[in-house]
Amino acid sequence: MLCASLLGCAVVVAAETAPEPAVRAALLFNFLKFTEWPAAATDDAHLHVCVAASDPELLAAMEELNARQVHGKAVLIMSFRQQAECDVIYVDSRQRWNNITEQPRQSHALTISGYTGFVADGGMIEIILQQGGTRFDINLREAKRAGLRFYPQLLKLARRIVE
Amino acid sequence: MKNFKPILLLLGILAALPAQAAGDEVEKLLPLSLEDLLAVKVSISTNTLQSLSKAPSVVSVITAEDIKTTGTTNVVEILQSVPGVYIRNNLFGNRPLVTMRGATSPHTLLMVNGAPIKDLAWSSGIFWKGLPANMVERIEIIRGPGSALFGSDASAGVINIITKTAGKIVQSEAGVRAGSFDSQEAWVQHGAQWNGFDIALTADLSHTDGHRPFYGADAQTARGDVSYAPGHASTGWDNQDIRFSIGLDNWRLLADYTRHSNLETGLTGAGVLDPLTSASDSQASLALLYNNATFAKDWGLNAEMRYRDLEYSSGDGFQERPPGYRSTVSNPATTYPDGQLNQQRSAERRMNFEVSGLYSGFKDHAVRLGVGYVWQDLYDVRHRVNYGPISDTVTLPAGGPLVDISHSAYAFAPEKSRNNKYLFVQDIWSFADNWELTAGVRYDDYSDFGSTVNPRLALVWQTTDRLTTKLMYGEAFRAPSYLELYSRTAATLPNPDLAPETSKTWDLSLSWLASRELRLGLNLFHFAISDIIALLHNTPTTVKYQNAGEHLIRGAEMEAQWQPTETLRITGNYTQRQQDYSILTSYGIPDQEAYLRADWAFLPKWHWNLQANWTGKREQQPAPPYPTRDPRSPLGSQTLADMTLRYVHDQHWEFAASIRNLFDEDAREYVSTKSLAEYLPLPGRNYFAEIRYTF
Repeated sequence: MLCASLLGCAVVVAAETAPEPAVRAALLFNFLKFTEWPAAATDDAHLHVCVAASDPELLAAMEELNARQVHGKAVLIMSFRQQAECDVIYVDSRQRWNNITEQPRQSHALTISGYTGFVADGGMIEIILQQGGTRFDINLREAKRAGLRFYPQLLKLARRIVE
Repeated sequence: MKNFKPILLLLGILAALPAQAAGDEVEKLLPLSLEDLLAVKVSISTNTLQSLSKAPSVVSVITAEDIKTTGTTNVVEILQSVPGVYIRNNLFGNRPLVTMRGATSPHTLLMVNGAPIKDLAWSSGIFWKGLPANMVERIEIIRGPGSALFGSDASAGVINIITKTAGKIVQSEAGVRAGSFDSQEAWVQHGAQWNGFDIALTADLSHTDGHRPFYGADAQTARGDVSYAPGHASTGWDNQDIRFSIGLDNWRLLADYTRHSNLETGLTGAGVLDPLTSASDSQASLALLYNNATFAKDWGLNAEMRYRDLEYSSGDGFQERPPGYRSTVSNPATTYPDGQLNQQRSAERRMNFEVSGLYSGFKDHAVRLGVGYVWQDLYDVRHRVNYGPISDTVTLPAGGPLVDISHSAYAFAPEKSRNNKYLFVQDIWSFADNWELTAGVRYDDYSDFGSTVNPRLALVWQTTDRLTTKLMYGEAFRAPSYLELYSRTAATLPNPDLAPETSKTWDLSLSWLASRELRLGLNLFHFAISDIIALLHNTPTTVKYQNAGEHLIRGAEMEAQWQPTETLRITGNYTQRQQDYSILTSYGIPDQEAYLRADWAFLPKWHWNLQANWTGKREQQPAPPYPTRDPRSPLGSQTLADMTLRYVHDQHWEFAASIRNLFDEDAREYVSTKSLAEYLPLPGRNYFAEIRYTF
């Protein structure tokens, strides 16, 4: 018990403070692990993560996820283009999200953002960064519409779930 | 099949840069479980916040992390780290007056959770002494005009202090701190969820004796009369602050109570040592906030309703002149055995409503429309004096008892209410890739002085991936205060016909991400204030508040942030201003300021911070325009450095120690009272230590 808690302490202390872009990238990767796409929707080898953002640091952090394996597929980070087929869309602002939703829907893409009101705007996962830690809200209705399934581990940790 | 070839991000942009830092950070986080990852503290880099870099203003953000690592115990201390902000300690009550861009403190709109701290009686928040740093989640600072959104006082800038409220406190914490000047502080913060509600409670209690500056002579010595000088000015005070909040879905309710007691004012405004006054103030406020980003199709809705009650009392003071004071106004001279006493109490309330909608139904536009109403009522004014005129014909004889002059024309303020209705509209138009134009205007109608219209324009150009350029223009105003409109004393006359002060500001701002390790910022401004309200002679013996003229301040603010390694960060800024020297100049605010800060995590559990504030020389009142030159030796430049060491023992315990004014600099604040040859001495080297327990 003592040992376990000490180890736990060590990890927590080592990771005590992390820069925002790295946390966003790591969270996104975790969300991928706990999401199931409809079998026919994704290609066999890759999980396409489209990033619609302008902050170079965030882009650099996201790029670190390239080639990592989730559900037996390699993550492929790309910048968002309207014609792209994305399994995941990370968007940094309401303005960009409005532009994305103006076009025909990305039918099965998991959508993630950190801007306030994202879930209310029809996004699926809204990351709420705070000094002390992080929370996230989930829009289950939108996820179901896209044919996505979230694992209970993910739902359990959500701050709020919109159904 | 994929019909689009993926474009790898950052190709060519970051190719030349070492990608090591970001990679390591992500690498370190990936092994964590989602649960652990959520508990990781996030250092929100102010410059990467999307809303900031694209904000149509020059914005700075101070995070709770900044507050903690710099050893800040009161939010006022860290405001000085923002370019252009200068905290001027007031002679009377040692109150921190927050100034920006060389203008006096009434030109900066200071808010806590979006509500202005100002009051009707004194307009500077009575005995506002800042906020306990532990209660604060974030401070947002807009340099430049903000009246097009926020109304009065937002000429030089806007500061919004955001406290930790429901949903924002992830871990509970208790802490104690003790230090020099017999200072003690204890605090607790707790966040919880209860039946779907987010609940938060923060409380802070503190006591200090203050730094008790020594004066060899005061204004009484100068006139060859009885005096407490040589002696120390008392500057102690106690603070009690408790804040509760509850949130559910789109609703939040904030209930705050703050009280200052045993507040020693030290010196009177005229520079006379006053050991008698032990004043107090208290405020209670309630705010109900509603925020729904999807209220209806294409509409977001914000609404707020606030109430505040504020009271203050000078206690047995203010003792304007000490016992035995000899007045030479009348002939023969008279003596006041109890001194001159000026006891004041007042109570006021403020209520306001605001509703605003954000419409996003037009392509490439985001339009915000809002209306609001503010009602302020100074409902209780008590005033007792034992000297001076109490009516146009009666002057109190020396040696008599205290006389109640409440409700008379000579009371320090009238019992009176004021209201303000306003309307605003703002459009953010993304008219081309990388170009954004913000246009806004606000109409204010005040029940006393009338109406004013304040527009603003901001053009934001994402020049390259690494450079943002902003060109901004804004107009702003300051509503005349009750003091200026209505308060009559023996020597000063109010003026109910005053017009608001107005200002016009141009800003050019460049923000450049030179490399992943280095960020640079430059901001140039041209800030012209008109119709400045000043006390000018209307007869040889009386002065009257009048709209007097114009004042121009120009300046450059430069910022840099350099992170050479993962564990070392150096930030700094430098401000240079130029202003007209006239009767409207605010002396005592330096034309040059600089700030340097180093943060070094030299071992995994340790954090070291060094910060230094450099203040340039303070100009002296010249003659002309003043009748005589200031006889005191001028105040040169000074550097105040602080060093803080922090140790995180485990996930529960954290320790810190700090040395303030590390080099024991003999620092002074400028005061215009010429009889104070020492000006206002600031604290010498002092210390504190603290312990935090997180649970």
